[in-house]
Parts: sequence; C-alpha cells; structure tokens
Amino acid sequence: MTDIKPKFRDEAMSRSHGTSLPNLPQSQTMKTLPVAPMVKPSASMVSLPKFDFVKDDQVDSLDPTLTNSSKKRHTLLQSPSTQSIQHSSLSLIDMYRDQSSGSQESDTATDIMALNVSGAMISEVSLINGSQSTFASAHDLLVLRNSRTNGSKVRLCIEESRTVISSNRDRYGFKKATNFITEEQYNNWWIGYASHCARRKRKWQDLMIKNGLSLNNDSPVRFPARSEKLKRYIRKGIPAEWRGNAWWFFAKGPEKLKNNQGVYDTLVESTLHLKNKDTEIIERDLNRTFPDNVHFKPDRVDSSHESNEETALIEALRRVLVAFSAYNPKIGYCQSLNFITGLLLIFMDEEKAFWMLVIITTGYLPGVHEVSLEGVNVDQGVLMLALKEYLPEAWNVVSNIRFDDQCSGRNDLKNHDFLLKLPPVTLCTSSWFMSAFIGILPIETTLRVWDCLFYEESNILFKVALSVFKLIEPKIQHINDEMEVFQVIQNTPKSILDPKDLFDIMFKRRIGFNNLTQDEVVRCKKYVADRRQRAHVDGTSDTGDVNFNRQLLAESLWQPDLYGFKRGLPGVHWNNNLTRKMKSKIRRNNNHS
Amino acid sequence: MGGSVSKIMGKLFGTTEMKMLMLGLDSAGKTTILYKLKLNKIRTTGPTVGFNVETFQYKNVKFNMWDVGGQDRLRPLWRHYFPKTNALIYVIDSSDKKRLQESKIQLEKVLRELQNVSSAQGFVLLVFANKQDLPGALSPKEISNTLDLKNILTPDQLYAVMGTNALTGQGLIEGLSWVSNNFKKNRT
Repeated sequence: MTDIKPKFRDEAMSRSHGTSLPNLPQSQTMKTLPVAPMVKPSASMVSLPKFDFVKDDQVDSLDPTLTNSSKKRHTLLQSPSTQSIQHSSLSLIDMYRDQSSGSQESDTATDIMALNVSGAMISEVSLINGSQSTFASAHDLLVLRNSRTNGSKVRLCIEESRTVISSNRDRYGFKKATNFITEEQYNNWWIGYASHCARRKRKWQDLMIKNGLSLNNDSPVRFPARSEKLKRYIRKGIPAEWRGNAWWFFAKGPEKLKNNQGVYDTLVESTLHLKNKDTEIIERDLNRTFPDNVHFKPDRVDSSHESNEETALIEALRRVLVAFSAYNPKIGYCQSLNFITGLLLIFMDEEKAFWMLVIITTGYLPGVHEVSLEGVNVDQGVLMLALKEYLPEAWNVVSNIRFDDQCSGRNDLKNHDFLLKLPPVTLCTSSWFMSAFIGILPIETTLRVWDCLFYEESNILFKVALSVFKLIEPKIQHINDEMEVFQVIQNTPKSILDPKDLFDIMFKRRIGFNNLTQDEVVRCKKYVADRRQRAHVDGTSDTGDVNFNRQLLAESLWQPDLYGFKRGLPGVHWNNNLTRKMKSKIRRNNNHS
Repeated sequence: MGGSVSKIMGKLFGTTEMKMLMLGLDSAGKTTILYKLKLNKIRTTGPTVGFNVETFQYKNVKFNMWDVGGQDRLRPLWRHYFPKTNALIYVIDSSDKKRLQESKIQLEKVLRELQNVSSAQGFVLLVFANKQDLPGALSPKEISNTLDLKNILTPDQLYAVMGTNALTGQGLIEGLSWVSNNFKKNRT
C-alpha cells in the first residue's frame, strides 16, 4: 500500500495541471471528503453520487494523517474519474489486494459495510435529504436491489430446470441446434449423456456422504478435500446443479469474498452512472452476448410485448462488467470477458460472478485480457512449443502456413524464433484462450472443461487445445490449401458435442501431453515471456506496446536459448500394470517360502 | 476424387478464386454478412473474438472470406497477419452516425497498413454501407462523401460503395459481382 500511494499522487498532480474542470477549494475537499461519508452511514449514501465528480487533483491533497482505511475508501470512490487514465501503470487492483494485516482488514470492512445500503436505509435517506438528486439516487438503489433479486431468481430457475427432448433448448437456455450440430444429433446424444449424468450424480452423493459433507438440499457449498479420487470425479463431470458452488469452492472464491466484504456492492453503486470508453463498448456488446440463450435474448412472444426490455441477466452482466472495468483499469473491458461473465452468471449470483472474474483474470488467465495482450501471446508461444513437442505432424502443417514471404524458411523454427513472430495459426487459437473455450466448444463440453480448469489450473486449457489438435491432426495431413486448414481448425472443436470425444484424448495416459503438468506450463511460460522480452529489447519482435520490466529481464538472462520439455520415460505408465503384477508375484513367492 | 473433378471443371469453365478480407468497426455486421453469404441464413451472432473464415462459391468464382473481430483492443492480435488479399471489404453501420468518423479513421489506418503488405498488392476496395433497413441510415452516397475515398486512395485504386442489408442479403451479391468483375480487369 505504502509504496503505491506516492506514485498515485504524482500522477494525480501531473494530471491536475491539464484538467479544465473547475478546481474545488482544496481545504474544503481534503477535510470534508474523507470524514463525512465515513462517520455517518446515512450521509455517506447521500453523498455517494457526488463522488462521481471528485476530481483527480483532490488526491494529492490527501492528508497523510488519515487512517489507512479512509485512503482506501478514497481511492475506491475515485474509480470513476480514474477511468480516464485507465492505461496508467497504477491499477486499482493493487489497492484492493487482499489485505494481509488483520487490523486493517477489519477497519476497511466496517467502513465499507457502512456504505452498504439496505432497503430500510433508503427511506431514511430520502427523509433526511429531500433534494431531487438524492431522491433519484435512492430510487436508483431500489431499482438496483430489485434487479439483483430478479437475477438471483432467474439463476435459481435455471438451476432447477432440466434438459428435455421436447424442448429446442437445453437446461441452461441455449438453443440445442448450432451451425454445426442439429437438434436431432443433440437429442440422440443427450439420451445417453443424461444417464451418464444421473450415474455420476449418485456417485457424487455417495462421495459427499462418505466425507461427512451436507448435500444442503441439493445445493452443497462445501466439497471434499483434494484427492486423486476427487480429481477423477471432477474429470467425469460435476453435477450441473452443483456446478456454480463447486467452481466457486475450488477456485477459492469464499476466501476472496471474505477478504473483500461489501467491495462489490460499493463498486456497483459508485459506477451506476459511469460513462466512459469501456462502458460504451460494454453497452454495445451486452445485447450480443449469448444471443442463442433465452435468458439473454428471450424469444419474441408477440409483437405487442416490448421486445426491447432487458433480461435480468443482461442487467447483471452490465453491472459486473462495468464494476470490473473500474476495479481493474489495467484490463478495463476486453471482448470475451462478456462471455466468461455471462456463463458465470448462469451458475452463480452476480457478486460471486464478479469475484470469479477477478480470480480468472488474475489466476487462470493472467495478462490475457490486458491492453498489451502479451498474456495471450505468451500462452500461444507455450502452445506452439507444446504442439511442436507433442504433435509434430500437426505442427508440421500449421507452422508452414505463412502469410507473408519475408519470414518463410525453416531457420527460425530451429531457433524458436516463431515465439517472437507467432505463426498465423495463433490467430485462431488466441480466442480459445481468451474466452476459455466458450463458443469454441459446444456448451456441455465447455462446462466439463471448466470443471477441470478450476480444480487443476490453467494447464487444462493447454491440454484441451492439444487434444483438439490431436483430433485435427489426421484431417489436415494432406491439405495444401491454407484456407482449408484454417477452416478445419476453426470448425473441428465446434462439433465436439460429446465431451467424451475430447476427454478420452485429454486424459489418456499414453498420449504424451499428459506430462504437461502445471509446473511445466509455468516454466514454459516464463521461458516464452523471457524470449519475447529480450527480443523486444533487441527490437526484433512484434511486441509493439508492452511495458517491459527490465529488472525481470536482467534476472532471466541465464535462461537457455531453447526450451526442453521434461520427458517421462516412454511407456512408464503403461508398465505400471506390469510392475504391480510383478510385485504381487514376488509377494506370493515370499508367502510360499 | 470430388476435388479433382471440380478442379477440372474449374479449368474448363474458368473458376477463379478470390481472397477477401472483411474489416470494420465492432457490431457493423461483418459476421452476419459472412453467414448470410455462406449459409443464406441469419444467425444472431455475438462479438467475434479472433476471426471467422469461410469459403463459398458464387457462379464460377470461389470466394475465401476472412471476417476479423472488430474491437480495437484486439487489433494487435491480427495486425501482423494480413492474409493474401484480392479485395478488402470494409463494413460500415450506416445507422451509427456518431461512429462514422471513427470508422473513417480506422479505414485509413487499414489502407496504410495494407499498402505495405506485398501479398495484398493490387487489391480492390469495396465498402458495404450496411444496415440500410434501419431508420435514419445514411445513404451509400452520403457515406461515400463522408469517407472522402478519392483523397485517401491512390488514383489507380478501384473502389465502390454499396448499400446493403445483411438481413435480407440485399446488395451483397451485387457487391461480390463487382469485386470479381473488377478484380479481373485490374489484373489484365
């Protein structure tokens, strides 16, 4: 906290020179601001909308004697105005990072709780302060509360619904038919898959009871401790009704929320009327998110009915995305976050969805949605290395696709120069990672991937991508036309209706990329990031607008020029059976003698 | 087998292949146009992250069309990868007057970049003034005037502005015929 603040001050000062907005008298702002909203909860609410107009230049007048928590509050309310400089090096996320010291934490928690608006307080406010703007704000908060309740209702409704053959939609509200799958194909597959789900659910119920965990009226909130058995269960699918809770539990959502009580509510309230470049793009994308899902775009019943009315989930989607853009200006809003958030909202309430989004963008897809997009480029580099290592035949085809004549030739393949200018196939695979396979794989397969993702971490995404390439490999062997190759790569995942087709490859022991552990992925990522950073310093790469950390670079100079995957002894897994047989034989012999 | 037959037929009847790149701001209607042309179906599409690529045949011309996601943030992903292009199709939302200027700036940027790409030399430019069905949509002529293409383009650059409605398909085929006719002329 302490080393961030001075930076923020400098920035605020430099900006204040340029601003044309009228400066409030400094003495007034610095003394009244932190105190007034902090002490009286009702007053804090009243003045909340006013904070939208807090000027950046007020920050540099922050009294150093203020308590830590008040400063935090201050930056929180700053968020709307900070938006205008969203690409600055300072990120709000740093301000919110889970506080480790206990006293501070409780301090902030109470402050923010004071801002939490309950229904009873709304009427109180309108009585105290009868001005027009306050009334509107109280009204806004009432509307907000209703909208959030409606969102929860819709989600509960989804949780209770089932996929039935007679409907043209699945239990989540998605149309069964897509460009690649007909309704008939879907139904034929579903008959078998439904019984798989029922069987798995009984197994899960047994497992929970054995572990002494409550089923909590078919909505368990706690799950067994990590084990090989649990991993196997998750790989075979979490029961759909439990999914939201299970993702939340395994991604360590409860801890995150505990450390950030009330932060989401405050964010939502302070960003209610936020207007900036991010919110503009969010507005355009809202109604284009999941147009094939009834909870996002309802069927037109009749023309007399207002068709422009927004669904509860669209409203929730707006709140989460806008709040997130203010919470993490380093990312702001990036297309594909709408899909991730949208899918989360089908399975959990919006506050949880918000924190899951925070967890996903920091833990599972770090840097992928940042402005520089370097995170996604690094991931693509890792994927290309892994492809070269584990599926050389597929690599052979895709690495030969070149759009321009300048960089052809096999030389750069040897020196891993393809990491600097990534092969064109990454145009396709980038979106796989950015949206965590939503819209790339059919919905049920995507959900199964997400089950594993939150339990096993990001190596799953690479394994899925490699498995897809394993399915693609035989199809592209003899294609010379690059367009056709691209079409196969683009279309193959979209027709993997049965998750089994993918998972059988992904977790088959004899396929090499099973050795791709999380450690290996992390090591590989570091190597790729280093290569790209060094090339940037030499000026030989396409990483145009990345902020490079020179210290990190200096530390990393020991890195080898080529990456070596750890290779297990070939056939070791296969021999496990043999070893076991030998052991039991020896044991039997010993018993005999 | 099928492939070789169609290749021979192609040689006999002169099938040509056209590679086209479709660009434009987000939510201009690029993906809708692509799937209207490919499947003659309207599917409500979400924002494109990455790109879509489709091939389809019209008369004796095989079209390869790339539809690239429009959000500005995602440009770095593809700006180094201009596929071989015979034609650039630039899609504009005619009903969105507020963003017309932004769209113009974007087009200028793209044209500058394409001029440096060797594989895209001698391409023709087709502007789709899309969403003509919406109330208050600017006419192709108004769009053309605003874009001021004569001053952006080199004198030998062929271009056309075509009013379209992706939902009915109006204007799309006409645009493609223009591309295939003029590209041939351009080459000879």
